[in-house]
Amino acid sequence: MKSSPPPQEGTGLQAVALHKAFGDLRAVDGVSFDVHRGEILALLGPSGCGKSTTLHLIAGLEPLDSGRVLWDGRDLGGVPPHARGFGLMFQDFALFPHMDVFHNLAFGLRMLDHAPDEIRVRVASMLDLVGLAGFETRAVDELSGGERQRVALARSLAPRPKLLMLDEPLGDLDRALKEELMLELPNLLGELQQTAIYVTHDQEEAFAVADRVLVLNHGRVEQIDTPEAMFRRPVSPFVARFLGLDNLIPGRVVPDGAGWSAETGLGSFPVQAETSGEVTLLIRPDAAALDGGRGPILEGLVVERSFRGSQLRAVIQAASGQHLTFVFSFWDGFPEVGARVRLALDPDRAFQVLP
Amino acid sequence: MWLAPLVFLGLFYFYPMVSILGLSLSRSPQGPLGGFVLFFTSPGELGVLGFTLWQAALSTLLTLVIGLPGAYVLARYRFRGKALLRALTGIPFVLPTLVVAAAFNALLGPSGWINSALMAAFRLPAPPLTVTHSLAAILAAHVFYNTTIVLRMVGDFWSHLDPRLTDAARVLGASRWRAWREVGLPLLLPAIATASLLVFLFDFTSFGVILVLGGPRLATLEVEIYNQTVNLFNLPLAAALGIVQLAATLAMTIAYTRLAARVSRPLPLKAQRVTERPATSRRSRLAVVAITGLLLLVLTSPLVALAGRSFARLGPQRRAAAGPLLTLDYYRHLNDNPQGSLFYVPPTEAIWNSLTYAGATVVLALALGLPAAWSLAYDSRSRLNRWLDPLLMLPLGTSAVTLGFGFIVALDTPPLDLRASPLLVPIGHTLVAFPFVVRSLTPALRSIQPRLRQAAAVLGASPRQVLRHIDLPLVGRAVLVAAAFAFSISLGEFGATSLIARPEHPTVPILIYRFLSRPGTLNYGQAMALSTLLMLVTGGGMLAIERMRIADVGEF
Repeated sequence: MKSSPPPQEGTGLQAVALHKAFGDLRAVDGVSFDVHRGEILALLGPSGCGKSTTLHLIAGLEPLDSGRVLWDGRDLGGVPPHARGFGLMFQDFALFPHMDVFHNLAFGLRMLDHAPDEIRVRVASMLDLVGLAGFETRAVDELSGGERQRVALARSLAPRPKLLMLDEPLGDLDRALKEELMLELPNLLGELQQTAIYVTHDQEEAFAVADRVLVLNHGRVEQIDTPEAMFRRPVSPFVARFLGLDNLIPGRVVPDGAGWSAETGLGSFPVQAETSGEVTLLIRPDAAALDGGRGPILEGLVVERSFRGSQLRAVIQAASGQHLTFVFSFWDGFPEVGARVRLALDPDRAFQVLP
Repeated sequence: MWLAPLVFLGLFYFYPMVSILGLSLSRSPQGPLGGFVLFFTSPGELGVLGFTLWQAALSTLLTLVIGLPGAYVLARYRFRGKALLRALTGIPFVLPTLVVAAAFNALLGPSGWINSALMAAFRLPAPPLTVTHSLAAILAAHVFYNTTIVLRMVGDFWSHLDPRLTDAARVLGASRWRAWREVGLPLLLPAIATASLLVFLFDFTSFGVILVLGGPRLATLEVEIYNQTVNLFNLPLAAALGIVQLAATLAMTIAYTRLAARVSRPLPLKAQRVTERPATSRRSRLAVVAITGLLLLVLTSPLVALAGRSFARLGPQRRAAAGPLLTLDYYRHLNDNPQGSLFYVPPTEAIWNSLTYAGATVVLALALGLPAAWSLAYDSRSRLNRWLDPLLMLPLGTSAVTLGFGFIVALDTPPLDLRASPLLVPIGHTLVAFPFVVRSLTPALRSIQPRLRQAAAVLGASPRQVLRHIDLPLVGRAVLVAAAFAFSISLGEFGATSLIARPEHPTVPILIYRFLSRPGTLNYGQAMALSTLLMLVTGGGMLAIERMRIADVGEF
C-alpha cells in the first residue's frame, strides 16, 4: 500500500456565473457556488431546473456560454472532460454494455495507464468497498438495479477523481434499497474524504447525504446553506415549498408598535421584519399547540389526518377556506376529521416572512 | 473528418462526371442543351424513364415482401443451420449481375433446366417457356439479387432490438398486431427505409440483369445510357439521360435523409444471444420452416441451377457429344487457350487480381467511410452534413458504365493520369462501395448512446481512446458488415471494371464476360464454371464472416 497523499492545499471547486442556454431555454442562468475539499454539496431542485446541465458544464461535457469553472483557482476553460480528473456517475449509470464488471471498473484506471497488477488490486478493493466482491466477470446486463448502481459508483470512484459528481444516483431504485444506500453513501464518501456534488430532486436524500445544499430553480440559485440552516430559514417560498413547508399565505407587513406584524386573510400575526410591504407568510407546521399554548389562536375544521410514524399530520381548513398543514406529537392525541379545533401558534417560531 | 472523403469524391467522382458532361454537351449538334431537348421530346425516352421507375418500384415491393419475413425469422429465432442459411442468402448479392442473369438463364432460359426437362419429357421441338425477355424475369432477378439487403440491414438491426420493448406493449394491453404496429414497426422503420432506398436505387440503376434478361425491347435508363454511349455514340443524349438519372436519385436521397433524421433515435442495443429464442410453439415452427423454405427456394434455386449447369451437358450439345450427363470438361478446359489469344489470362491469375483489388477496396472504403460516417453520426443536424449526406449517395445512383467512362475521359491526362496505375480499379470499386459503407456504418454509430461516450470521457478517455475503446468495439459488427460488402461489391463489380481494367489484368467477372461473349456451348459452360467458382469464393467468405462474429454487442 502506498502511504496516503499529504493533505493538499487549495480551495476545491469554484463555479463562477455559469450560463448555458439551449435555444430559448436558459437551462443554467448565472449559477455560482464553491465546493470545498472533502465536502459534499447537494444540488436540489425539481426536474428540468438545470441540475444535470450544471454537472455537464463542470465536467466539460457541454461548453459554457459564459462563466468559469475553477479547481484550486485554476481555470478549467479549454480543458477537455478527460483531462479534468473529475468523475461523473450518470443517472442511468451508462455502464459499457460490451465490457464485464471488471473492465467497466478498470476503464478509468487503464486510461491513466496504471499497471495491470495494480488495476486488478484496485478493482478488487473497489468492488469490496461497494459490497460486490467477486463480481469481476459478471456481464453488466446480468446485474440487478442495485448492483448496477454500485458498479457505476465503484467505476466512477476507481480513478480517485478530485471531484465526484453523482447525477440522481438513487433515482431508479426501490424505496428500501434507496434508504439503505442513502445512509451508506455519505459514510462511504466521507471515508474516502471524497469531494462530491450530489444531484437529486429528493429533499430527504439531499439532507441525508450533503454537508451543504444548493436549491436550484429555473437555472438560478435560490439558496445555498447547510441542511439545518436551510430548514430553519428558507429564503423564498420556492425553497419553503420544496422543503415541504406548504403553509404559505399572502400578506402585508405593517409597523406595529415597536415591531412589525403581518396582516393576512387569517388574521394579524407578529413577525420579524425590516420594512413594510407585500410578503408571503410562512406558518411553520411544527409550531402549533392544541390547547393551552400561548400566542395567536387559529380556529379551523380538521379535514384530513394521517400518521407519519410517531408524528400526526393534520390538515386544517381555516375560516377563510385556506388549508394549512400542521404536525403534532403522536402522544398529544388529536381530534377526528370533522372536528373543530383551536390552535395556539408559537409567536417566536411559527411565523416567517418570505419575499 | 470530412477532408479525405471530400477530396476523394472530388477527384474521382465529381471531376470525371463534370468532364464527361462537358465533353458531351460541347459536342452537341443541337446546341448546348440538345441532349435534353432530345430526351424530353421523345416519347420513347420518356417511356424508358417510366419503365425504369415502374420496374424499380415493383422490384422493391416484391423484395420487401420476400425479405421482411425472412429478416424476422433470422433475427428472432434460433434454429439449426441458421449460420449456413445466413451465408447462403448472402451469396446472390455478391454475384456479378451477369452471373445472376446467367443463373436465371440456366434455370428458366431456352436451354435451361426447366425448358430442357419439359422438352425431354414431352418431346417438344422448341422451349415451351419464354420467361426471359420479360418483366417477370427482371423482377425475379432483382428480388433474387436484393433480398440479401433486406435480410442484412433490417435483420441485423432487428436482431439487436430488445424484444422486451414489444413485450412491454403487450403487457400494456396491445394485441400482437398492435404491439408490432405501434412499437416494433416504428423502431424498425429507419432500417426498413434505409434498406428499401438501397434496393430501389440498385433496381433503378440495374444494368447487367436488364441487358441480358430484358431483351431488346425492355430498357432502363442505364441500358439506354450504355446503348447511346457505346452503340450509337450519341453522347449528348447519353449525358442528358445520365443527368436525369442523377437528378432522380438525388431527389430520392434528399427525401430519404430528411425522413431518416426524423425517425432515427438511439436505441439500447442487445446482444443477439439475448434477443433470439428457439421456435417452440407449433405456429412459430411452421413459420420458421415455411419462411426459410421460401428463402431457400427463391435464393438458391438459380444458384443450384448455375452450379449444376456447369457440370451438365444439356440439350443439343448432349445429343451431339453423346457423352454422359455429368462432365468436368468445363473446368478442365478453363486453363486452355485454344485460339492462342494474346489476351489470354489464366483464371487463377484473375482470381488473384480480384482478391487483391477487393482487399485494397476494403482498406480504401473503410479509411474513407469511417470518418465520413463518424461525422454524419455525430452532428447530423449541422448544415454541412445535411448537404453532404445526400452527396455521398450520388455515386450509388450513378451508372457504373458512366462512372467507368468518366474515369477514361478524365483520368487519362496529366495532372491525373492513372490509366496505368494498379490503384485505378480499387479506386473505382471504392467509389461504388463508399456510399454503402457509409450507409451501413452511420446508423450503428448513431445508435451508440451518447452517455457512454461521456462516461468514458469523464473516466479519462481522450477522444481517440473513446473511439478505440467504446465506438470501435460497439460498431465492430457494422464495420465487419461494411467491410464484407465492400469486398463483395469489389469482387462482383462489372460495369465500371469492364471499362477501366487493363486487358492483361482482368478480374473474374471480366473473364466470365469474355467466356460468355464467345459463341459455343463450351464457352457457355466455362462461364458457368467460373461463375460457380466465384460463387464458392464469395460464399466461403460470407461463411467465414458468420463464423467470426466476434464483435456482436456484448459478445466479446
